Amino acid sequence: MSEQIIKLLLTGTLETLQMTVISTVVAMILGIPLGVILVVTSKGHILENLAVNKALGVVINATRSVPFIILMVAIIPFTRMIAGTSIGTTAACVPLTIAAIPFLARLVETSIKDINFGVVEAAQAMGASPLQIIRKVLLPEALPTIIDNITVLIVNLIGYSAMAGAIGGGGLGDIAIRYGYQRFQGDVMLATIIILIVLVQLIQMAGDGLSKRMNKK
Amino acid sequence: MIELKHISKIYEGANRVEALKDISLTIEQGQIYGIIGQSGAGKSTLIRCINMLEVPTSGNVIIDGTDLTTLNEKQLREERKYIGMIFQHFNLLSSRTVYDNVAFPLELQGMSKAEIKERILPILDIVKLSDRLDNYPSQLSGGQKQRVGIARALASNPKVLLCDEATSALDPQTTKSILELLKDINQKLNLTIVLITHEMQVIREICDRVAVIEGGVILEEGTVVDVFTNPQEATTKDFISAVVSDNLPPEALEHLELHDEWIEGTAPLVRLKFTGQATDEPVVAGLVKRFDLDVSILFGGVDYIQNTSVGRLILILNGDRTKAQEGLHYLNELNIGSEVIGYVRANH
Repeated sequence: MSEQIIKLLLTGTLETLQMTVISTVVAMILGIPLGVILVVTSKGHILENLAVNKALGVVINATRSVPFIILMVAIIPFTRMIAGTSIGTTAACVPLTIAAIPFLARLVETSIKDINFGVVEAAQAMGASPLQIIRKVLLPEALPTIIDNITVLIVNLIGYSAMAGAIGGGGLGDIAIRYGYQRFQGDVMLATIIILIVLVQLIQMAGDGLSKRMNKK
Repeated sequence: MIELKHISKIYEGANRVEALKDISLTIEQGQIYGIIGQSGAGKSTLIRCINMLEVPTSGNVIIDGTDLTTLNEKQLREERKYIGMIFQHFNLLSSRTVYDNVAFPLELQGMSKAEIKERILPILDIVKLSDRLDNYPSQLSGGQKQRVGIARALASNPKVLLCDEATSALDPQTTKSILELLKDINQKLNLTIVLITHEMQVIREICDRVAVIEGGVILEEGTVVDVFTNPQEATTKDFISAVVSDNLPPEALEHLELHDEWIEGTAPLVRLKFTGQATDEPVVAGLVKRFDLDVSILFGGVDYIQNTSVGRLILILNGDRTKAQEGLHYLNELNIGSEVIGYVRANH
């Protein structure tokens, strides 16, 4: 493998990481609150509001039903509005984030729903406000599983980012398609696959370790 | 201290449920008040109405002069700080240590770290968990978890402690130690305690007064000694028979022939109940000496309920019929509950 190819792989890896990190961070900022809202507005919960709950559910389901490859193309005007362009790594972050937010919201919803409602009731009996319950009960109690959720999200985003690469987003996916597939460079294809496998392994291990450390159950 | 006035709770919906029907109760300062009922009787709903975790459909909940049903959300949260609650499944925060769990209610009130420490260390001492401060709930036994629950409830100096089946998930020995702790707290802090349970054992152990609830209605209410010795309702009798057996074990009747009528050759089978002082009365000796009866004791026992002795005896009054009649008359005149169960003849 030439030095040029190695350099290319390095850039590709960094681009993949860049796409993954940016979309994960934005998804966490927006997806976790949405997940919390999905739970607390549900029937019988601390801020029951079925209208909000239903509406949010519909929007999340709608976003999640569109296959990523289609979503990417369909929201190009929006991507252009946000990123100023529709090609390149920065542009690819937009559809990645749009796909990641509802995905994480649903995962967080499930983790928080898993918490025994008795704990919430106990906090209410102590005079906790809804905001205090969210900050001091729901999120800390769900933290280990939320970390697991984020790990799943990152692994998914690495996969999606490869797809984004295929339509001009850069990253390892782009390299695999252009060099490995279109130019029949089997060694490049193999190298991208190995890098992806190693990346996913490392992230999974880090996520599992962190979640285990946080879990006091 | 606690006054419930005409509390009703109706769950609307396809299956409309009337969980509580016009319940009124008064609980005095410093009392340990027990509410007993089977599951589904409405006792859980009732105790949750006291701190408004369940909002009653109608009626008033007055605690220490404040009517909770008239408060807004914020005022209610303020009042709840003075109503501690412990739960069957403890409901501790698994992500917090023992110390941080107990500190939790004070943290909610915005108390400083130093103040919290000063307040909760003595409480952790009372519940005997001072050596467990850094443990997580998963590292504790059930009894220890409930002690954390109690410490957490006591942290904000409550006026009232609500216990929702607090010992139902514990083994008998742990139950005993938790009940002793509750009694201890009640006496040391003059704290009013309301507990719900399905175990008469718990009522007998620590309660001053008891209410029996069934189908959302209070069947009877009174001091524990009164309810134990003179239950009015079948449900109450059922609960009591679980801890104090009033009935003749079937084995005792095996070699006896029981009749409803006092026919020739049979003798009265009498059940006696004594409470307090009457236990000292030499009843059996009286029957033997004064009426020349051969008294055989089939069954008997003495229980202590709230430091009052409660005795039961089942006797056969063998002997001359007129003498036996006089004996029954003598029993009726004594201040004890006596009841003729039937007439028996030995059948060998």
